Amino acid sequence: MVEHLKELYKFRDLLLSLAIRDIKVRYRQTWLGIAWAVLQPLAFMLTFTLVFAKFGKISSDGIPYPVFSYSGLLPWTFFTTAVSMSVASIANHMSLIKKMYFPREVFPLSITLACLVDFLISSMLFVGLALIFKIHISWHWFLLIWPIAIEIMMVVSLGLLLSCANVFFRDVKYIVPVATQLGIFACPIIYSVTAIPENIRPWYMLNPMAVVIDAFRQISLHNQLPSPAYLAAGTVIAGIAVLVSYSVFKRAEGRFADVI
Amino acid sequence: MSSNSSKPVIVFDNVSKLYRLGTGHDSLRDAIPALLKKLAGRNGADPHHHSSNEFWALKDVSFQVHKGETVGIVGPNGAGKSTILKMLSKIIRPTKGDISVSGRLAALIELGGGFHPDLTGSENIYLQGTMLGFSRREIAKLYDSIVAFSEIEKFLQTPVKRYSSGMVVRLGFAIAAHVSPEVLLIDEVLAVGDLSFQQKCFKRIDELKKEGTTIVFISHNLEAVQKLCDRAILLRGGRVFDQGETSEMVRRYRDDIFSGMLKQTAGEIAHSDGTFKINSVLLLDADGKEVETIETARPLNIEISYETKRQIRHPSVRVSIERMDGLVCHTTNSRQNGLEVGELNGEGTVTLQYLSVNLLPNLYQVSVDVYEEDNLVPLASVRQHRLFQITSSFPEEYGAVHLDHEWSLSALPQLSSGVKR
Repeated sequence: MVEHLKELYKFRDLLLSLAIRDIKVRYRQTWLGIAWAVLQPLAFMLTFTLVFAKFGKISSDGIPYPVFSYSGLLPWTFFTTAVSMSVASIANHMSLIKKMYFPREVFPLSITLACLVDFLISSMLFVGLALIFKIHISWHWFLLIWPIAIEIMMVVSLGLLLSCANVFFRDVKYIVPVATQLGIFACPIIYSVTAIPENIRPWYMLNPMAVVIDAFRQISLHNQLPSPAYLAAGTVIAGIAVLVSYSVFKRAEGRFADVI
Repeated sequence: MSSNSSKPVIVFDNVSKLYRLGTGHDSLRDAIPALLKKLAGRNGADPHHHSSNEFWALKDVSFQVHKGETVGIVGPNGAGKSTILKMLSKIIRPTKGDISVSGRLAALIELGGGFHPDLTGSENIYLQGTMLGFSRREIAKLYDSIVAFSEIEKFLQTPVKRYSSGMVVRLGFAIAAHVSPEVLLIDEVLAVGDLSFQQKCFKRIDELKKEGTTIVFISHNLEAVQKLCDRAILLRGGRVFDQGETSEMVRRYRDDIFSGMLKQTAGEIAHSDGTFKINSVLLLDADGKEVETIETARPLNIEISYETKRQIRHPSVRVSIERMDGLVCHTTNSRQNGLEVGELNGEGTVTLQYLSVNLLPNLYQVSVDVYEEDNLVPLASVRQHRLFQITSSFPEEYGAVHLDHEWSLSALPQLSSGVKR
């Protein structure tokens, strides 16, 4: 593991170049350019506000629904775009993989990096919304680092695992969009965690993304610390996931050029 | 040359590579039934089920390369040459055995293979460099010399997809050859690019050799192998057939493929009409015996027997000797050589005598054309007929031809041993 990380460190500039290339190529030929990073969660927010708040009367714990749903959509969008773009990242570079050697994890990792930039841009809109809806922005916001760190671990681990699985089984590419669409209901994005009955909530919180989104919302909108037990559990689960997926990935890596 | 006492830079220890043909599963729909079958098969099914689809690209290959050595790998297609290079560069991993490579490695496997078509030449220099494991800062230092070597200054801001294939190769070679690798792998890349660039590449490789770079070279160009390599490994069918001194390995490899090729049938004889016919083209030695192998600098007679149903006026015969790779070594025309024949009737033979065929070992073929007067279309022609092999009595020479030569030294008398001029 340490060997692999050392090698990855040696190729850090490749990681960076790929991430920059990714951002450049992605927005180079679009008319709205980087604004697309913001438009996707924004469109969802407007739809959700209309459907669930106006017609469905879903409780948002006393927070204006637009900013409430955006606080969930912001981390969720980062998660889904990064994971779904990672899936095909290895298979898409098959010709390169047959010709040159470098640690193959640079492909999913560079996508995570590029999506992190998108995340930062759409975060600015969140700050704007918070100001508009008179949400108190306090030093608590620094704590957002914690759920974001858990989320990055989850993105990295799923990106590694799925991009690797997709090399061997192209079905994965089709399963992922379905899974992310269903995932939006499995996480507290549209609704609040308080809507989950107390007795099943610990089970619900085994999903690290539920922990991430809840913590994100607690800290940014309610100015309060989420339960450290959930955060700790989320961190442990995500940490184990990263370690397992990375070692699975590195073990399978040598067969990529044979299979592709 | 190499000092075998030093620690080897490359070690290949009993390396084997197995490919399973046609059993890859690209979708779960194929994989799940296969998995179930495999599980069901555990209870007493045939264990040899896979063996027919198995293909050993390499089998128990072992060799070592020491620092500063240049080693060539020769062998026919499918012998496993490229598989070895891909394993050295860690693109694929062995099924069995161990490989160790110490030092920074650069591979010229497919030049420009790592370029991104939408990015400019300049952007690609950085991307390719980082793929080789360098930091952007290190590449920035080498940037100017890479650009100068590649001769594409004008096109640096053009996307690589608009480059000609020659430009791509030039840029690819320039990058790989300037990152000062400790181990350089070269796979049949010098066949591309024009002559002057090839020269430049060879020069650069020589420089790298002098700097102590360890080089593994794969090529079908046996002359290049002889020129560059200290040592060669001869592969056959995924195994090391032999390894040792380059010219010896090249000779063995040639004998090996040539013996197979000589058995192939001779070329067709084509005729413009039915009136004139070449019956046979024979290669004879000085004693008039038919041969398919001669030694360098020995005589060779080419005997062409003909048959004509009408009178042929002012005939001329052209004979050329071509090397296997298409190089025309010699062409001669009977009329231009002063064999003036007024007319040709009936049957007969035309004989061309070479007193000494000064060609070096390789496979050659003979082509014959018969013309009437100044007609450009031959009456009859034999294209690439009669393969023959030349073996050498001059093992220390290599190249295309044997030239009679002599060495001499005339040293100026030294005034006094201690004085330097």
